[in-house]
Amino acid sequence: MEDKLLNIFYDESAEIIDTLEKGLVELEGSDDPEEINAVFRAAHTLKGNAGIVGFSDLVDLTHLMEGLLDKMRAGVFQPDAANVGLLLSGVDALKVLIHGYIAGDPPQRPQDLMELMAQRLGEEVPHSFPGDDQKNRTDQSGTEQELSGQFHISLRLSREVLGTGSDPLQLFLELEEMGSFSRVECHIEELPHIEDLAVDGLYLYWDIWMNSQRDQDEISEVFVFLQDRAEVNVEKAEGKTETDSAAAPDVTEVKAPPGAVPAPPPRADEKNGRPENRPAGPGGEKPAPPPAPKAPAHPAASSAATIRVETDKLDKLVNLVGELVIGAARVNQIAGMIHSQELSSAVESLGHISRDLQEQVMRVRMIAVEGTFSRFQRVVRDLAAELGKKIRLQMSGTETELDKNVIEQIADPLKHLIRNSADHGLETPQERLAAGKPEQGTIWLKAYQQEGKIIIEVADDGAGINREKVMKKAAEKGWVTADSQISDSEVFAFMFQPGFSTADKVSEVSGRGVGLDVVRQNIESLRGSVEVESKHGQGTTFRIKLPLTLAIIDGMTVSVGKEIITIPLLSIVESLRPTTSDLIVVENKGELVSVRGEFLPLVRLYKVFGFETERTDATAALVVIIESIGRRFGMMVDDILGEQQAVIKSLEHNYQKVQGITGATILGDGRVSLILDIHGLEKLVFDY
Amino acid sequence: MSNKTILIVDDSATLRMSVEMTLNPLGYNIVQAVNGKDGLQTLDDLDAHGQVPDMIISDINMPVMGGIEFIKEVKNTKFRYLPILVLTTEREESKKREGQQAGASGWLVKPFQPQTLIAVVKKFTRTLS
Repeated sequence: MEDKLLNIFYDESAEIIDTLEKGLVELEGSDDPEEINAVFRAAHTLKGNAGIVGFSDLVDLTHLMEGLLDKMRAGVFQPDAANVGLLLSGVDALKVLIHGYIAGDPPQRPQDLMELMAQRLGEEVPHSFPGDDQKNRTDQSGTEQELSGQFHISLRLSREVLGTGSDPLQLFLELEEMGSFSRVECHIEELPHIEDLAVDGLYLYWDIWMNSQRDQDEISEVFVFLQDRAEVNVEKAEGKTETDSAAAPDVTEVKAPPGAVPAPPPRADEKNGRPENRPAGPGGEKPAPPPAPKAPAHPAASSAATIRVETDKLDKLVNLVGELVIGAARVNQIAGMIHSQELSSAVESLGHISRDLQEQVMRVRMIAVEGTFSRFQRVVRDLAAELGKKIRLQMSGTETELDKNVIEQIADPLKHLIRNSADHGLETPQERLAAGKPEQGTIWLKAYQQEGKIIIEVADDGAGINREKVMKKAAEKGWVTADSQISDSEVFAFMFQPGFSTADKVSEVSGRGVGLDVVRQNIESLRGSVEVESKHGQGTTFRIKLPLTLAIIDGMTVSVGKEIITIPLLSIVESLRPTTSDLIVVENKGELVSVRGEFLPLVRLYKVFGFETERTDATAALVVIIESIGRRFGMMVDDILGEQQAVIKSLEHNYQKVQGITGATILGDGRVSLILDIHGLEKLVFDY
Repeated sequence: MSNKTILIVDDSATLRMSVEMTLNPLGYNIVQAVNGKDGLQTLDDLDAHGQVPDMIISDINMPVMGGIEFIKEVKNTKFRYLPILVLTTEREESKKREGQQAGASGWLVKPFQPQTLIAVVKKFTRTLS
């Protein structure tokens, strides 16, 4: 149970911190009150949550941040670079704290930062302790104390009070907990004839005498919510209590104020009488209500109409649906074998439905890139400050959806490309002015869908890539001769090679020992690709293409001996059957195959994986030309079987990781096919 | 064990979960909403299924529609008789007054002690037996 609460807390905290960070960056220099309110609310909620789970350092830090934001909201502090910077440092510290809590290793309290904040606020650094919430109490409860006293309460509620949620019985129950009644008089004089009686009208009023250890104010508190709907008088009674009992014929039992309580609304109490039990999801979110009008684009609200589901559950669902599709394909095959027209058409429609189902299930895993994108506002802000440049980040297509796993893994490469653009792409303000450009450089971050792929572009309006410089470097590395006539895109592709870096000196920002080759690797491991376009003086665009989902792959099935291998379609250029004259062997380079005058390395797939096949003569086999960035090669297989969508099953989960293999899939006829990981295979074969 | 239903309206999932974990073991059925607007919608949804809650617990500071407005709106519906406990970090008297005038039946300051919440909820959902 505790874990459940903590998990929700961590999840929610991550969301809140994102909102905070994004809001703060937008806040800088802005005076939109709603902006500040949203940020304030985020800090406030986080503080409240931290209190619930008892993380006192988090409470104290958010308390200070909330204080700063409050002053900003009131116009005492300006949302300038200094104040926003301080708050952003707070956000960083929040992240560290939360990560520490998650790791079970609570970090040091960020005392210095907190002192700085407290100083700015003119306050002391707060120091709360877990469970330090003794001071709160309700207006309905309290602790027993002090001497007993006698009170007389005359209570007359307005006639309509029952219709507003106030129930006199509640008052009696509350009073009862504060002491004991010595006498209650219920006045029924105003009760009309039954025919004139309004069912929700209150016609009774009371005089109550009670003993209580509370003081007069506390007893009055019971009625505080009735305000203008009641005439209440609470006074200390002296002695006059149980004396005139004879003169009180209409004493009523408190427990049953006659007739005046409205019947409770009809309600299906039996569990099965509830068509919708609305249980909280595993993440505590309730199922989204039926189409509510779209709330205004509000950070906190946009996460509202969602359910939290553990990714595990989704993965299982995706898997099962995958099996269903395969099962349908298998039945289809059997139907074909027994030549049953009727069965075939039935199975065909079943196949359609299962594929639709599959697509929908895949969609459930998709989330908008917005969350990831918005984090870069902060990155760009910090970079600009660090580099002394003026940079604006322009985003579009933030609603574009991508598989959750892809989104998580694309964040780092994107960050790197943005850094790259800020550092190498964009010029200094002076250089820009000299080039007749606006002082402020722009980085665009765009996402859109195209031809079943998701495209993410990181573009800048900087100086563009210096072709000569890249060529020179590539020549130095011996990848190319300085006078080679090659296209721009081929030149730029060198930048993705390991060991390439044109920066004259390694800068603090993008030269962290991680080059574009790592970016490429990361993207390729997501079965995506990256290309670059650049115009001298006008800017550079990195274009990342990603599959919609990692769970399904468009593949070409080929046979090698008894094995059936699935090759990602994305990497295939063409396939051909070489003639003897196309094949040559070069010392140190191994076998090459000539494709329209270009010699490509020939990789014998059966050799790589140790499969047995009789087709070892390349002229009898087929060569599939594979392209990954900067390298093309031919892959020799026995035969091509066809194209098909494959649901990837991880080998790691069921067996172990195999280099060069992404996973396996089950074919329509029930056989297993291994899916190639081109990038891994490349590493395996070309050994870098 | 109770078999009562409570609608909790709060934008914090953590808070909603902690309320649920406090009250669920006592048999309370907890229905969640993330802001005032969602709360009203949820009341309608529940009503459509003949499942009316026994009380409402609501936060004050929420996006889209805050607690005060929510309470006022509830008082304009057929659910106006439902007791509404405000559960908030707001301690200010003026806010409290505003809540009372809107029609709140109780005010509890966060973070709450489980026993306190249980006591208040029991009080508000007690019916004649």
